[in-house]
Amino acid sequence: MEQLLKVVGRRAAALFSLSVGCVGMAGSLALETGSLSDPGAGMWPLIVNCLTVIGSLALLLHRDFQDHEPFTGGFRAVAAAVVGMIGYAVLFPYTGFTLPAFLLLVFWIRVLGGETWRLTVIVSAAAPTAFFCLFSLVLNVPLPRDIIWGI
Amino acid sequence: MGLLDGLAVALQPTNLVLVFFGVFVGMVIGVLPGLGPTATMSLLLPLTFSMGPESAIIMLAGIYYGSMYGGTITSVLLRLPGEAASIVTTFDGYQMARQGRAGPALGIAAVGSFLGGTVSVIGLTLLSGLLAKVALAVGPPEFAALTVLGMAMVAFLGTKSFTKSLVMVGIGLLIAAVGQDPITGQARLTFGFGELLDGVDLVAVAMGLFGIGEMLHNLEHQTTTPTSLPSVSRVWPTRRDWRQARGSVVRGGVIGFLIGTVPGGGGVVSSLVSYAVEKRRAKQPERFGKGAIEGVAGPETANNASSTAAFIPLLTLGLPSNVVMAVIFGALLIHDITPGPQLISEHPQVFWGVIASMYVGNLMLLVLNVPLVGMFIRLLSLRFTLLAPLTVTVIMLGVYTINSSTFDVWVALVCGIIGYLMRKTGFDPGPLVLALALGAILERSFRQSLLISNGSLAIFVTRPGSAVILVFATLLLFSPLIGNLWRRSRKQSDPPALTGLPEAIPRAREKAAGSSGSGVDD
Repeated sequence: MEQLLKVVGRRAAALFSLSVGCVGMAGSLALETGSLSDPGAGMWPLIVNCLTVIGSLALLLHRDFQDHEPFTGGFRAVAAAVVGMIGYAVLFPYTGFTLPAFLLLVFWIRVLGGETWRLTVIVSAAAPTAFFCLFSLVLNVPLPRDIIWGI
Repeated sequence: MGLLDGLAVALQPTNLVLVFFGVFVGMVIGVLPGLGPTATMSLLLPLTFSMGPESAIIMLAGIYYGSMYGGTITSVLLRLPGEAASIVTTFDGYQMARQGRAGPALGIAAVGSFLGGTVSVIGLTLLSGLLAKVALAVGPPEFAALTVLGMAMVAFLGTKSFTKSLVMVGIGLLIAAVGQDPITGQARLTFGFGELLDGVDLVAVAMGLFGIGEMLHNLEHQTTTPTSLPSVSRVWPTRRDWRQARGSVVRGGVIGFLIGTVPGGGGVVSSLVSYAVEKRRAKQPERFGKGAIEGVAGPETANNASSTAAFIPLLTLGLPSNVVMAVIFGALLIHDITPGPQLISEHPQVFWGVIASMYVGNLMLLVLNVPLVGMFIRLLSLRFTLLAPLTVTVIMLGVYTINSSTFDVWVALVCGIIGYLMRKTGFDPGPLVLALALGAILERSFRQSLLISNGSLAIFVTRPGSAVILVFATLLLFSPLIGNLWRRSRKQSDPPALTGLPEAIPRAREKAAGSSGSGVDD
């Protein structure tokens, strides 16, 4: 069982690309493929997915895993950072940029980076303000309504 | 009216200020991840409404060069390509930065960019009429073949596994196919997401895979990152660097100009071709991917040369050959000017003024670049614990600004996670992003070719142009196999001088087909 898990784990990337290719192929076949003289919407994606599937099958047969990098203890920090970014993306449309950016920076700089509270607060407050001014006020980019600035 | 009159237009005080503004703003914004030339030009397009047409295009062209070089700076310092053409620069530029040679990498890129742009401006001035006729002969089959060549380059350049690069190309092409059928407009592969009808944004994917993915990967090894930051005391390349890079600069300029004149060629293909040529010519090709200065000088020169040359199809044929040219095309239309063969006679001040301003713009870029390199290098002295969250925040905001779409923020985030996992499993994100950039061109020209030939694939091999390009692409694709067979045959033949290649190859094939364990003994 352990051996099986190891084999599957090492081939997870190839299995993932194979499943992407298979899903894409199913999506292409659901469309009209047409003929070479009159190609339908599904023809091109089908050709492309064949390339992905063939390549993935070849990868499954690979025995060389030297370029694989083992997951280390730092993986927990990566997972935490991803959770922080998901939080940003969820809040952004409702609160505007400044608040979620401030929270993300505080989380990353203080919790993940272990910097001092003083530096954390200065950078987390100054950077979103500067970015907001540049994009919203100088470049006039339309952003979601910002609850901090009321703009 | 000719180039001298164009210089008179470009050197007017207003236009000088505009080209300076364009180059500077472009360079600064190009450094910010998420804002490439297209986004920058689109953002500033409303500013041009009150200007004359030549002033508008002069400013937009300046932004284009400036942001292209801004992308180079982030490619070298942070491995964040500002646009697709800078991806190649990350291969060796980032490695040079890690070895403490960020200054020479940026210095050679600045000089190469200037020389490449200059070569193209001179070529454009002398040959624009003739090249327009040649470019007219390039049909869809040649377009398709050129793009396949680009894909072959991508797979060939994959510094890790050839098969993995191929899979990445396939997935990149698949993502490019998401959205609407380019001919019938039918929705495809959207899986019910309305946001996917306009396709998946290239910049969002690139920023996710390269920007966020890289930051997450570095986060895992945070303790080791600060020690690997380069020491940067010198900006100018050494004499040895110049000697190594001068040939690459010359070749890059010629390659970039020639490829840039072909509609659809552009900076991506030219930088790839230049890199491949330099790697092939090198006495020690194994240095490439590990910080070879030729790997920065050639592609950067080619990239800038082709960016300038890309104006040829636009100004002479009215054919925008890339997204940036499409924005300039739109700006010209706003000013009631339709680019095409009549432009040179009906609006000579625009045609020659823009060409002359490119020369002025390239000179300003060089003058600005070298003193500012130090300022950009200081970015690296930022602690990773600050740099990473600041970069991610700008990416998340920058990605949103492209289409004012929250969906793109999620795309970048998901691609960031995938980019991190790709690094862990030995996949290179470069081929995927390049395939995504070239996918639409390939599909359109492939289908147009089939329509011309009434469904016969023979059109790709019966037309001399496409046939030659495809043969080259095939050789490139199979070169790892050919190289492998050649090496095996060399080891087989003892003494080597007495054995010919025709006899050695079948023997090597037999050996390759046999048991893999017993293969090659020293």
